[in-house]
Parts: sequence; C-alpha cells; structure tokens
Amino acid sequence: MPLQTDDLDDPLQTDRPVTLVLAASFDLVSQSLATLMRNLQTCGVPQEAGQTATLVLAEILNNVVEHAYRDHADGRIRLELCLRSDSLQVEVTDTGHPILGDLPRGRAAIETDLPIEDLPEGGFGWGLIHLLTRDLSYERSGDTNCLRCQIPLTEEAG
Amino acid sequence: MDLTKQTHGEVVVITAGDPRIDAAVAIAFKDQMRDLTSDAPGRVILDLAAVDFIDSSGLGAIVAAMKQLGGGRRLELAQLSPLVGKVFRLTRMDSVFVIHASTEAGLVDATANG
Repeated sequence: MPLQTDDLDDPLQTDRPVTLVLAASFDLVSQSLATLMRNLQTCGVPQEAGQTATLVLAEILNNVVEHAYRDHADGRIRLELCLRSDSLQVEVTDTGHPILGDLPRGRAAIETDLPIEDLPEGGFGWGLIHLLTRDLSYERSGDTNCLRCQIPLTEEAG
Repeated sequence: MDLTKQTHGEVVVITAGDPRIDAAVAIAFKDQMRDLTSDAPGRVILDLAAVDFIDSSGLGAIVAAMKQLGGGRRLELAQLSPLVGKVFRLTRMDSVFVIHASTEAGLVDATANG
C-alpha cells in the first residue's frame, strides 16, 4: 500500500470520505492526528469537539500499533474518515492480530481514594473509546480487522 | 520532549513546551520527568499551558511521573487546556492531582503541601 498522508492537509468536505494509509508507528499516528486536529478547526468543527475526536482516533490507532501489530515491524493502517453534519464517521482497518471475543471495555474512570502507588497507568484507551463514540463495531474478515464508529462533533459532545 | 525546570524556593516548576503529550513521547516524558524531579525536596508543579492534546498514554505518563516523586507526594498541575482537563475529568484523575488555574496561583497556594 502506498503511503498517502497528504490528504489531511486539505480541508475535509462534508459527506466526502478521505482515506489515508499510514505506517503503524506512534510517531506517524501523532503527526497525522496533529494535522487532522488543525484540519477540523479549518472546517468549522467546534474546537473542543475536534480535539475530542482526535483523542478517540489516537486511542483507536495507538491500539492498532501496540496490540494488532505488536510483532509486526512494517504494519499499515488504513483510516477512512467522512465528515457528516454532526459527526465524524470512522473506519480503521489493519491486517494485524485479531481482537478475540468482545471488544475490551477498558476503564472509564478510576476508583477514588486509591493510594498513589496503586493508581493505574493504563487501560483508559478503550474506556474513552466506548464513552466518546456511538455505533462502535468490530469485525474480522479474512486477515483484516475493521473497526467502525461515529464520533459526535457537537459542542456538548462528551 | 521539551521540558524546562525552574526552582522557586522549595517548589520545583516543570514547564512543558510541546503541544502534545501522547503515545509518541510518553516514555521520553516519563524519563525526563524522573531526571528533573529526582532531587526535588518538596512540591512539584507541572505547567501544561502549552499542551493542547494528551491521550491515555500521555495521561499514564503523567501518573507515572507522580508515582516517581515518592513519599506520597501529589504532582500538581497548572493551566489545563479544555481537552487536557476533559481527559482528567472523564477518568476521574482530577480527584488525584492538585490542579491550579495557573503556576502563579499554585505558587501562592498555601493550602497545597508536599
């Protein structure tokens, strides 16, 4: 798959999907999402909603890098985004390891009154994904994982 | 990862200069925080005014930075942007850290103690 990371420099247009394929690395995910966050602001998406959407995408894409491609050096992630009137429609595909069983629930929030040394340092990614999306679905087809969701883009989202 | 350190009496202030604390920099952030705070005698304030984005890996690195302080000390955070504040609120981590409107407010906050 060729690398197409330039699509995100052009403002997204409503109902017109864009696709990019990126090498599975934390650095490229970070760079792509920094560009997307500026792009969403250019498109008139409320700033906090655009940042929240970027957060959800970071959690989804970093999960692919960290888990699906845990033993692949040259994995590729395909990201399809479509801006709708009040949401961002997302489809993420990869050819890494499958998610077995139900989607992880993660943890949305910590228990209060934990001693500092017992505070969790991880497990929040899936909790945030479930909390901040709707219509979240996952399917494994052949050697391909496909995760789909809608991220609300309204002022009061989240 | 751009982190700078200033000392105000017994209080160490670390200022984050990069706009993102995410999975790409989480380990570097945690390691640099250890280096910068290992000799801090008391309170440590992390100024996040320049940071407009964190993800769960960045959150985990900030939690790790607090654990590294030792002695049951709570890391203090100053000037959270809307998204950073939201991540702390949703995960309820805002109940664990001492959060100040600004570093200046944190420095005069006599109620916070190490």
